[in-house]
Amino acid sequence: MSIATESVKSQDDQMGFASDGDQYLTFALGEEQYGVEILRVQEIKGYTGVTRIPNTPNYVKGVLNLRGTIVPIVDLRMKFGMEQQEYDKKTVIIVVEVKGRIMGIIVDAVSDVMNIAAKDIQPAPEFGSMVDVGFINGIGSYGEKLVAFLDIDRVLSVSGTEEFDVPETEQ
Amino acid sequence: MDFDKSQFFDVFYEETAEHLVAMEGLLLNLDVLSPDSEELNAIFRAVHSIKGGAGTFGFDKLTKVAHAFETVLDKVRKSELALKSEMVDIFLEGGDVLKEILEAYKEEGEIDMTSSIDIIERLKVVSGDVLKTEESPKKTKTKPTEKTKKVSEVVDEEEKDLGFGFFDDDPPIEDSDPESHSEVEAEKDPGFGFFDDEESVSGSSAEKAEETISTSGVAKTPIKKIRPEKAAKAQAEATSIRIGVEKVDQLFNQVGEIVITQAMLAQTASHLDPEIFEKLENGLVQLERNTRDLQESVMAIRMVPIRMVFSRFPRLVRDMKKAFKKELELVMIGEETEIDKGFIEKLSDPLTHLLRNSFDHGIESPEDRKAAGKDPMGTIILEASHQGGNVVIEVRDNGAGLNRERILAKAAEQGMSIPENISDAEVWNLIFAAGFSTAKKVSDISGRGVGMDVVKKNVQSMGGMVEIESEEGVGSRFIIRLPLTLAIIEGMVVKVGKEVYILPITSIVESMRPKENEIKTIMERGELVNMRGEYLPIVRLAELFGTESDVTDPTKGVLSVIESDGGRVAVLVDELLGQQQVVIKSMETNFKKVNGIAGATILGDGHVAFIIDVRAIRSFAGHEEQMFVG
Repeated sequence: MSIATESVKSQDDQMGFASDGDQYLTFALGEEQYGVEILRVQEIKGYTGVTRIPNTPNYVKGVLNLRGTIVPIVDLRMKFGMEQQEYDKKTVIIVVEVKGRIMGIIVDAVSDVMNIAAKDIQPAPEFGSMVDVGFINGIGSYGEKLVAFLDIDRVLSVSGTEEFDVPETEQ
Repeated sequence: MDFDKSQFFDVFYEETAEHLVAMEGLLLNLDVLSPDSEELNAIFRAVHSIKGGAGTFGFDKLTKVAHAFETVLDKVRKSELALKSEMVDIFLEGGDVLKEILEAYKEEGEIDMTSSIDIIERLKVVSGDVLKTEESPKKTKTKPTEKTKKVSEVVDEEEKDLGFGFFDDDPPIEDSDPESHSEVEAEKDPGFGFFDDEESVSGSSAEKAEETISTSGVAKTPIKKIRPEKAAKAQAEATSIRIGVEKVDQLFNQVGEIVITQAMLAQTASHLDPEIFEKLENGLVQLERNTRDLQESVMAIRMVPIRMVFSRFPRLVRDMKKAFKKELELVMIGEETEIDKGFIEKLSDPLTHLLRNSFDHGIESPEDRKAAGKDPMGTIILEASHQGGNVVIEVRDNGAGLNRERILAKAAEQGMSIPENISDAEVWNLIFAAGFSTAKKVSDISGRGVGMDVVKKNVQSMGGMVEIESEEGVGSRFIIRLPLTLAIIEGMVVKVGKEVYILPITSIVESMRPKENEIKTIMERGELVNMRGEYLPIVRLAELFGTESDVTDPTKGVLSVIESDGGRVAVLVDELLGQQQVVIKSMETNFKKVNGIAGATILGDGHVAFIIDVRAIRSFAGHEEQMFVG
């Protein structure tokens, strides 16, 4: 993993791209910008209908057929407890790899790919119990905008966090 | 270097296991009178390959046994040593020992060398000093009794009085299979002792002929017939390659994807004007045909002949016959029937159990059979065939059949509730209950009551069903129906509101639209439907899955009665959309186990539909019932 990243970096150097730092895919949720490591992103596709999974939390929108693979899809707005929004033409699903699993996140729109050095990433701010920043690795700036870098493993962890483990007696 | 080798171990284990299976099959088919040199060579080669492989990878203990084995086989194939049926026994045991050692290496467990040392000694004895074996007390004792037996099995009690001379040219003896004779278990019946001379004159006894090393024409003919087939088979095997299952599965997925894309294209093109797009349409029709062929070809890769399971049973029967005083013939039909590779391992246990069951409970003792006017030699037929979209495997015997009264008495004894006017089929189903056994005495083989329930469970886990047919005094039939492959099930597509689910056909007993007077409630909540006198709890799928349905009144929807583990519930759905084969995809690959869902599948339009976990739904219903009681 680290080797691969390094070779990418050195290539970037040679080709005159901004050196130093990792590449992130940034996307929008409303006015806010978020980023995920680009190496984790498998593909980006427009929103299509999903099949709802019974007895799962509402932010698990359902599953999708991705070339024969059944891929669970999470609505990031719902996961973060943000206001819901109608899906439109800009709505996309970012397919990411999480601990060997393939999963998708629904976001408002994809923004850009950015390079940022580790030293330019600030630790996530603390809001106490007001806002849960457990999913955020750190923050950084991209031009005028603030980008929150996501710990995608934690956002989409299947085991370990209670959120995905649905109580059996819900019905 | 060691690390490098270890990656080949699995291949070695697999290949060795295959060699052992092949060797056992060859040994069992071997004609002791006139062993086919090609077969002897094949056995030799199998052991030689095992020895070679074991040597390369440093499995010394395996090498040692294989070496002793090989020495004897080499002498036999060079005709330096005459083959004897005792030798076949020792070879078979040798195969077992090799198998044990192999397993031990595989599991990295302790290897018990006592059995190896024993078998090496015995192999040395047969190879080195032939006279010594013949003089050994064990041999001299068994020989006459075996001979005796041979006569006793073809002679009926009544025929005995007719005079013995006519046996000399009695056609049944001539026709009988020499192999089965030589395998027959000894039976002590002093009155038959003097047949020995008679027998040797007739020359039809395998044992006798073996001593004189004469080759009777009767024995030779069937072998000649088989030979060209075998040669062809050997050639087919030689051109095969070994590939990982995951590669095949990947191919399967990709082809599935093409099928869906093709369906999508066809749908899109159906809106176009056929006159302008004639060529496109022709191309799409061609594409459809090709993709379907491709899908079938890919599925065929996973298919292997059921012979891989059946091959172990002649040995089992041989051993059982040795251990018990019963006479029977095992007939195997349809060994070339192809089944999914994934079934091979899972089928072994249930079939072994059914076979033992037929042997132990079904086939009567020779005396009983004679008394009932039957051929003292029982028959168990193991048959595989393709019927529609299923693989059907039957174990049938011409034994006593199931005993209705005994099963009912046993069921009552175990406190099972038995409905009145219970049909035969329902009585037979009782034996699938856990802990059920009607065996008068517990034997080594079966009758411990831990069997039929496991058989049923195993078969169900493969998405199959077991049926029983039986007639007292005539015999019984156990029929296993399996889907063609593990990855595909026959499903009933059902609609609930906007959602579509798949119910496995094998678990649906029937579907019906209830009348109003058939719906009852308990405490205004628990709904029940009266199915011809039996009240079944109703499970509303929409409620269970927290979705909306168009139908709230059961009399406007459809109730599908599903069965699992012997219990039934009625599932309420909006409507049945039709029956189709669906490819099972795991939910756990990218997500996790979801309650009430056995897996997912992709429908023709590319959408995902869930396959309902029937067992879980049953337990949901169970919970509700319990809640009502509490």
